[in-house]
Amino acid sequence: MTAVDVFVGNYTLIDSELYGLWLNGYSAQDAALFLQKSGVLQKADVSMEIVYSDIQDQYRLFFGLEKLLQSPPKLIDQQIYQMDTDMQRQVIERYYQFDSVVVREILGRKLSSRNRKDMDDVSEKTRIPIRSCRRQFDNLKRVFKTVEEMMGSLVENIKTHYLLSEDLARQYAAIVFIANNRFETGKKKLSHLSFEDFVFCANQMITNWSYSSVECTVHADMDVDLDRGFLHDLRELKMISEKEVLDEHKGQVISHLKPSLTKKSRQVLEESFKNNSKAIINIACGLNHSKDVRDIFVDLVEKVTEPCMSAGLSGSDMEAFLNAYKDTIVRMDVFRLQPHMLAVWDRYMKTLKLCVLQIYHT
Amino acid sequence: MPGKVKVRVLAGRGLPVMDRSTDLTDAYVEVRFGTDVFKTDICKKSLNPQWNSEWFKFEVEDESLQDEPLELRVLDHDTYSANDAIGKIYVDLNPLLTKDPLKVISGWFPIYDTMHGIRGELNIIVKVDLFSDVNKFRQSSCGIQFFSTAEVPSGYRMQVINGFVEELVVNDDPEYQWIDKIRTPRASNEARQRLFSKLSGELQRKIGVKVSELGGNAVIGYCQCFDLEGESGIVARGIGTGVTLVRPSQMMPPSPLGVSPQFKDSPLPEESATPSSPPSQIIRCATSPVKVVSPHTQVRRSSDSDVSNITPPKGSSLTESSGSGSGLGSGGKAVTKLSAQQPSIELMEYPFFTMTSFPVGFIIHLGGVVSAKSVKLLDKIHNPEEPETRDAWWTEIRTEIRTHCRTMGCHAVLGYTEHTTICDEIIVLCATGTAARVNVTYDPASSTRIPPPAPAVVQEKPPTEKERDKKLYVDVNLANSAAQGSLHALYDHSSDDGAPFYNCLLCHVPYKPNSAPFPVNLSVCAICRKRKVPDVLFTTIDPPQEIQTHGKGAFIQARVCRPKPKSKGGESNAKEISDCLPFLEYELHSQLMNKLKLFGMNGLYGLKMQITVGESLLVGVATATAVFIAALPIPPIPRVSGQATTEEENNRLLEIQKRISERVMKNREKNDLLHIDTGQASPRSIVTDDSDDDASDLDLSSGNKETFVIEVDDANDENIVALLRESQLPEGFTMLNTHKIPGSTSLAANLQMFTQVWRQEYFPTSRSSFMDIFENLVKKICYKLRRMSPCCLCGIDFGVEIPEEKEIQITLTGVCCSTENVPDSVFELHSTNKGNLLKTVQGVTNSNNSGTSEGDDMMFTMEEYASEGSVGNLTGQVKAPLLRQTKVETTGTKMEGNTRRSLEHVHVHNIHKLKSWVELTPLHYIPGFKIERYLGNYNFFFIRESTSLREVGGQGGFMQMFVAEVMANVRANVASLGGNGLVSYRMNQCVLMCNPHKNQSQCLINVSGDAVVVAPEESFPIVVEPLRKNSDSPVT
Repeated sequence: MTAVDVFVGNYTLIDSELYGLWLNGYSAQDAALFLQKSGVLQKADVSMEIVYSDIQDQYRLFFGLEKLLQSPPKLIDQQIYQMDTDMQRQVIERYYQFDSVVVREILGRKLSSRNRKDMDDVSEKTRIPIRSCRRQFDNLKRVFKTVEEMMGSLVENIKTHYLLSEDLARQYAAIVFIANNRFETGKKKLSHLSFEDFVFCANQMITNWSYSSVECTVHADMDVDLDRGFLHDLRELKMISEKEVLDEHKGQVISHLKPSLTKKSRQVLEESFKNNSKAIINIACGLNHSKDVRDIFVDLVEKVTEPCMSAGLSGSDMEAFLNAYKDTIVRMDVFRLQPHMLAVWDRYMKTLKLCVLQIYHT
Repeated sequence: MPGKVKVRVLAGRGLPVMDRSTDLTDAYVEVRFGTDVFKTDICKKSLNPQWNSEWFKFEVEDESLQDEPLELRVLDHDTYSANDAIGKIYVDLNPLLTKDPLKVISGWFPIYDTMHGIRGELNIIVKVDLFSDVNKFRQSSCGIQFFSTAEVPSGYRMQVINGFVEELVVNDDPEYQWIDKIRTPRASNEARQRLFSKLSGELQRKIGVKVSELGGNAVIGYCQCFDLEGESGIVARGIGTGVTLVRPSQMMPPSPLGVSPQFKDSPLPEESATPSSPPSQIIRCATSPVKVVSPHTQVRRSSDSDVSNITPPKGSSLTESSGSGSGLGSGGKAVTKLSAQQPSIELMEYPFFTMTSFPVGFIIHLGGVVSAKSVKLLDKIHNPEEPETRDAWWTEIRTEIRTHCRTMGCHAVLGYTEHTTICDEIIVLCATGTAARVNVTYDPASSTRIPPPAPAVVQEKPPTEKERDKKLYVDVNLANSAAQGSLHALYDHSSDDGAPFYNCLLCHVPYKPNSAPFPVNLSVCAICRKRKVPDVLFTTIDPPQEIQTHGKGAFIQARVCRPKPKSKGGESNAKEISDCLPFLEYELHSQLMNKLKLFGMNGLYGLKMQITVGESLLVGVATATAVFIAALPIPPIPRVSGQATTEEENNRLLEIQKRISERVMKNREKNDLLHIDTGQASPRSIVTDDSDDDASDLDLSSGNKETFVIEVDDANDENIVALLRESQLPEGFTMLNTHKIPGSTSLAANLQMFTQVWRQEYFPTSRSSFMDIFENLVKKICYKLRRMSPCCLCGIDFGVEIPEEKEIQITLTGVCCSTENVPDSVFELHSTNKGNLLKTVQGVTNSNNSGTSEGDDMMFTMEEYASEGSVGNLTGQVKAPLLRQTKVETTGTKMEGNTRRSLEHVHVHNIHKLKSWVELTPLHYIPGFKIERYLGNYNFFFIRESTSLREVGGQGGFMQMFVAEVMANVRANVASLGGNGLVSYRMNQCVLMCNPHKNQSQCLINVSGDAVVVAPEESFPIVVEPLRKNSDSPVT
């Protein structure tokens, strides 16, 4: 027996609601049940069969579109589905949107087909249907593979090859950046950090630390990587950890903070200054080794934010501290012999400060 | 005409990956015409190759130029193994074979593979240089234009109707040749696809020769079919109406104002045409009554020849008057010559016309539907390769139709169609049409004056002064003195309103009441109160402008499914079927009749009857648009009669009667027919008073008229149950199968052309289960299009097949249009007499009368309209541009308003239609747009096969993709000619064969239509802009 029941229009119209259900991984049957519960049948006075037939038409259409959505410019060029550009853009954007809880789980894993199997766990954990999880994983993987080796701006590359909005392209850029540098994000210690935290930090790093940053003089390489020259320069910051410098720095910072902080906070900071400063400088120096780069978030949490938090420092305390920490160095005469280090210090600290504050969940 | 075909291959895009190792493709293109082949270079390692080839030139003679398609084949080069095919493009060169040297085909064509579907696109340019005829003795049909459009194409004028043309070509089906056993499915499909396109070309060429022999230059209402007979071959059949068309715009120097010439000659005839019009009136007055009074063959002949003798001077004088105005004398001369060529209807072997709508004045009387059917055996054809046997079959059928037509006192068949159904060795040939009396030598000028086809769009130009005068004169002469006064008023209003004048003559029976060919209930015409009209009128044509209707049109469908004993052998099977056919037809007819009465209507337009034969089923479906024709009597509420033996049964009968009455009232209300009762009842009483001579007839007719009895065998009679079960269309939907929209609905814009393919197992259990299939399909369509409501589904076409023993396949095509409701019949307004509404229309009428209206006037009317609620909040925004617009524009804004009221995507359409979108429609026009040029008739034949059915989403996925691909191909072809629309789109064939166990499926689709360039009605761009900005704001 063969049953055919298809509807094809000259204009391809997408039922927004059904597209949403499909993206969310609802099967045609589930979608029908969902609509039934929402009372469509009574409203339109139709039988379940008719609603189901419509759903199937749309699902088949989505299935056909999905092939083109793998490479969005194809969807724009194609002639099979006569749709207007707005609709095309919308379909693409929605296809590439993801649930941050799902991506948070994927983040830091290698985007290989081996890990695709783990989507079952992700689905279970996030309660998002497996199909949707797989789509999100595949999207990430596809975007990653496409732009991984590309020259030029990451965000721009994603925008031209996937026709995504600026906002979404930025999120993808962050994911690609994290994946490419293999930042550790999955450790239990980091579990309190949200996907948005990582996106923010990664975007800061792309803007300031990668090859596409303004400060970078050689744009030869891709901005999925950190600027090697910069990382190399960071080693010079070691001297800030030297005893005399550290002590002077401490004094400067504390006095600088006097008017703005409570006594208690100042006391805490004074006690922990040595550890904090060492941690910050160690991270900077470690960035030159790719293994340490991967652990940047772990280090930040373990060495900087956790101790400060347990000592009871508030977010604004932390901000004041980091500002003072950064600015006082400039006033001191540490970089007398290497004036270019001032710029390096600024480039490092600006981003670091923003990242720390972002992940500083009190 | 021989010619030189020049082809350039520019580039490709989106090619599939053919080389797994590199994920790229080394593509090149083979360009083939006939036996000559050229190749492009190989473009290595690219999915978007750029060839920029030289011009490949083919020198081709006339015949193959028309028959052969240009073939481009894209291949992937492989150094070691055989080159792989990516796909093909067939380009039909016929649209290029005109005298227009600038015509070129250029654009992105989908690369189509029968096994994989569309795989990327190819950018090509094709030109044809034609040489003038070298051999005078060879008949060429180059330059004969073909139109699927079943009416005079917009912008053209029909000078002569040369007559019915038909042709039939037979060939072996490659699918059934021995070689098919050893070749690949792809090769087989391609051979078949190529053959189809060749047969189609050959058919057109042969028909073209016939037309030019008749002296015509075009075929309209062209309809081409393929009969897949199986073992005995493929038959390609084409029928059409040979005509001589002229483009009035070509005969006149382009006016600087950019207005069509109608405007130009409107002031002229007022002075110069006065001497010439009286003779024409005299002719009409002299002939028409004669025809009515004594429709005997002898008299008819003489009167007709009279007309044709006198007409030429009339024609010439008319054109001269317009010609002199524009300073071109040659036009007038041509008309004289051509009009003289107009063959009289008696000289035509088959006085058949495949058009469905006709210029005003062409139809004199409509008789009714005539049809003929014949069951034949394919395995009894002696010489299957030759067309003789099939020719003889069709001759038989056509002769029968002609005879039927004569017995109805008619001499012409309008809206003529032919169709076949094949099941194994049985073929049933069917022909249907509307018997009518026509005037082939009608005033050719009137065809241009009556605004061209788009009835939806409000008439662009007010009818010229002269035309109105003339027609009034004629009508007044025909009408009797008693009704004259009211007629005057009526016609005055209708012509002022821009609506066509009405003529009740068309509804009068063409035969003498006492010599009716079959028992028929006649009554007196409700308009002129003089002549006889039947109680119902069934036709296969579109609503003629002259016939006045009330209310809206409604979709009506009769469906019959009868089980048939399985074939015991050719002869007995054929006998079985032909014995069964009359009963099936009778049942169809009575269903139609019952439903018509339930609607409270009395006329059918666009009736299409389709009989399908299956192995164990016989199916008949009749589809039509029901209307209320003003001239015909009000249909009574059907009365149930039956033998009730018990009290309970009696109660049930009463219950049925009650439900029927309720349904009729509900239908009347829905279709704006409620107020008609009062409007017509009172005049009738006047009639009885003063027409004593017809008294006896009247008694008889009124006796019959008041009762329409439905016989009920028992209270559970399936007939009645099914009738009452018939569900109503959801709120906001109207459905019609005609091209023109009868009554008060008019179309604003195309929203969506759709194709639904449905196929399922079916076991005939009860009558209602068969009905439910159709009811469900309609419901389904409405649900899908729910976001576009309120809308009108037009040009609805059902195709029923029985592909397997227990399977039914239905294809449903149509277009969803947004509607606007403007009461266009003033008669109606008078009877409703809603003060406000009436004032509105008069306002418009006034401003229209004064030609170009003053701004103040318009604003006033616009506001009036708005207060009626249809545009509401829109007025404010549109007011400014309106200041300099006339009535057409007013409607333009109104339709925008309506469109906007529907959904946002609907709105998006309207904006995008101004861009590079291609609109498809089964109608002859695109509402809201006017056709600027016809680019050529297209007949596409596609075959698609899949051996990985599950992977493409099963049967459904396969079909959905294929239909989408077919439409994409059609759009690409239209766009490559510079067109942006395809009108008269028709899906002639959809043959799906599936073998799910082998994971395999094959489908053939044949679609056709006329490629056109359309431009928005003038007001469109002006109005769209302000709306677009406001579209974000919530609609209150």
